[in-house]
Amino acid sequence: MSHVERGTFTKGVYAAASEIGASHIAQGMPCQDACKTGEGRGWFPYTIVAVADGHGDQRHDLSDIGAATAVEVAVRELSNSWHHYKLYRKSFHDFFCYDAGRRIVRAWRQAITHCAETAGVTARPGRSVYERYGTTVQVAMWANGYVLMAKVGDGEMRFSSDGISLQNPFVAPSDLDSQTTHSLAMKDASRVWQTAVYPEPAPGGYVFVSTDGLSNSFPTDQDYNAYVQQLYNVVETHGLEAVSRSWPSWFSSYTHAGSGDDITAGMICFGLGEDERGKQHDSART
Amino acid sequence: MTSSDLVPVLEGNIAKRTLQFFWLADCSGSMKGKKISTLNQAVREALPEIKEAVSAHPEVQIEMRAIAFSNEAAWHVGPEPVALEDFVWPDLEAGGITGTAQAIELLSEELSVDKMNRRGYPPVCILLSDGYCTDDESRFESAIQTLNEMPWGRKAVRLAIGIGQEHQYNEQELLKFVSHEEIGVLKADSPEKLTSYIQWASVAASVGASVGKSRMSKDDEHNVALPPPPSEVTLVEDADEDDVF
Repeated sequence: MSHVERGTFTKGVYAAASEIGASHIAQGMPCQDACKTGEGRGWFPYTIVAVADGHGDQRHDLSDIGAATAVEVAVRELSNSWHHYKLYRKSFHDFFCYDAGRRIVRAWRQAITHCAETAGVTARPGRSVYERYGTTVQVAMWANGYVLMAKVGDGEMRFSSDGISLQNPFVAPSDLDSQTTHSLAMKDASRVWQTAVYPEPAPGGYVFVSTDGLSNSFPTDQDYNAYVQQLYNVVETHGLEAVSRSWPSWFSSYTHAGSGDDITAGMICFGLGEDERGKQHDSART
Repeated sequence: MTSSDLVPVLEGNIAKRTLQFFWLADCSGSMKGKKISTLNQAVREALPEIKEAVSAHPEVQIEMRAIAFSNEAAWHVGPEPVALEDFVWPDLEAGGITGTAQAIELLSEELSVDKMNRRGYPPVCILLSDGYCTDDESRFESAIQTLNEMPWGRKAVRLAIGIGQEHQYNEQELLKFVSHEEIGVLKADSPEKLTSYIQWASVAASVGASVGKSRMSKDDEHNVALPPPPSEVTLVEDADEDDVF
C-alpha cells in the first residue's frame, strides 16, 4: 500500500508518503508506517506533517494500527491546541515543548483502548495492551513564524534554514541502540518527548522527516544527509508535487536495495510551489 | 507526459545494513586432533546453514571474520570483513597456549564505534575454546571489561562453546564472555555436540540479530532474543571412546 498526501500553505508546500517495506512484502505483513498531514488557513494558518513507525516485531503485532492512530492523534491534538493557543505564541511554544507530548500520549492511549475494546484485543500476560500497538511518532509543524519539531522514538528529522545548510535537531544517543526505540506504548512515553523550535526559515528552507526505514537504507549519517540535500535540490527544480508523486517508486527501490523496512518521509518546503493550489490526496494500492 | 515523468530518479548511496560476524577460535595445542578437525569441518558446514537461515532477511548483509588464538591472537580471516557469500574457512592448525584475552582485545578493537557502522545490526561473536586462558587473569578481566564498556560490545550477541570435558575448560571464564546468561556456555564434549552447537549458535545468533525491527526499549534484558539451544545431542548407540573428546 502506497500512501501520499501533499498540499500547499501560505508559505510553501508540504508532502508525506509511506511505502511498504520489502521484508514486509516477503513476510505477508502490512505496512507498519503511517503519515498524515494537516493544515489550517485564514488568519492563523499552520501546517503539520506527522509520521509514525510501528515497532513491528511479534509482540507489537498491531503496530500498523498503532502507527495510523499516532499520526491521526498527533495532527488532531496539535491542530486543536493551536486553535486554543493561537493568540499567544509563547504559550503555544510552551505547550508544544512541555505539554503536547503528554496530551498526544494520552490521546493515543485513549484511542488504542477504544480500538482494543471494540476489536476484543487483550494484553499478553504481564504486558499492557498498548504494547501490541507500539509505535514511534514524529511531528513537524509550521505556525506563526516558527518551525516546531518533536518526536517519541527513533526516526530522523532535519532542518535547513536556507536550502543549503542542514541541521539535525536531535542528537543520536551515544549508546548505540539500533534494535530498540522509545515508544508511545511506554509507561513514561511523555517523558521522552523531544522537541526543537526554529524561527521560520527564509524561502528555500525546509524540514525533512523520515522513519528509520529510509535512514537505515544508507550506510552512514553522511550518506543520509547527502541524500536529503540532493532531494531538496530535485524538489527545488521539479516541485514537491512532482517529486512526491515519485516517492512511492523511489522508496520501493530503496527498501528493496537497502533496509527492507517500511519507508515514510515528509517534507515542508518554504518559498516553493506557488503554482500548486489546493490539497491533494492520493492513495493507491501497489 | 506528466511532470513526474521528468523527475530524475534520486538513487542515493543505498546499501543493505550489515551484520558483523566474528569467530574466535582456540587453536592451542590441546585442540590438536579431533577437536580442531571437527571445528574446521563444523564451521564450514555451518556457513550454508547461516546463508539459508538469513535468506528470509534479504535486507541483511552478513560480513564475517575470524580470530584464531593460541600463543597470540591473530586474524585467521580478516581484519577486513568478508561477505558471507565469499567467506571461506581455511583449516586451523593447533599448537601453543591459550591467549583468550588477546583474542577478546582484538575483537574489541574492531567493535569500536569508529570501525563499526552505527546503522548496522548487533554483531555476532562466537568464542570456541577448550582450555583455561593462559593470559594473566587481570588481562582477561580487563579485556572483558573493555568489551562490556563498548556500545557494540554490549549490544553484541556473544556466545561461547566449551570444547571437551567440563574440567578441561574454565566455564566461569567463558561465561563472562556470554551475553545471554540463560543460554550459558554450550558444552560440547563430543564432535556431534560441537558440530551441533556451532551450527545452532551461528544460525540462531545471525537470525536473532537480523530481526532489525524496532522494539520498545527497557522491556527486555537483551536487545536480541534467541531461541533455546538444542537439547542434549544424542550419541549413536554404538558410540565408543572416539565419539567423545
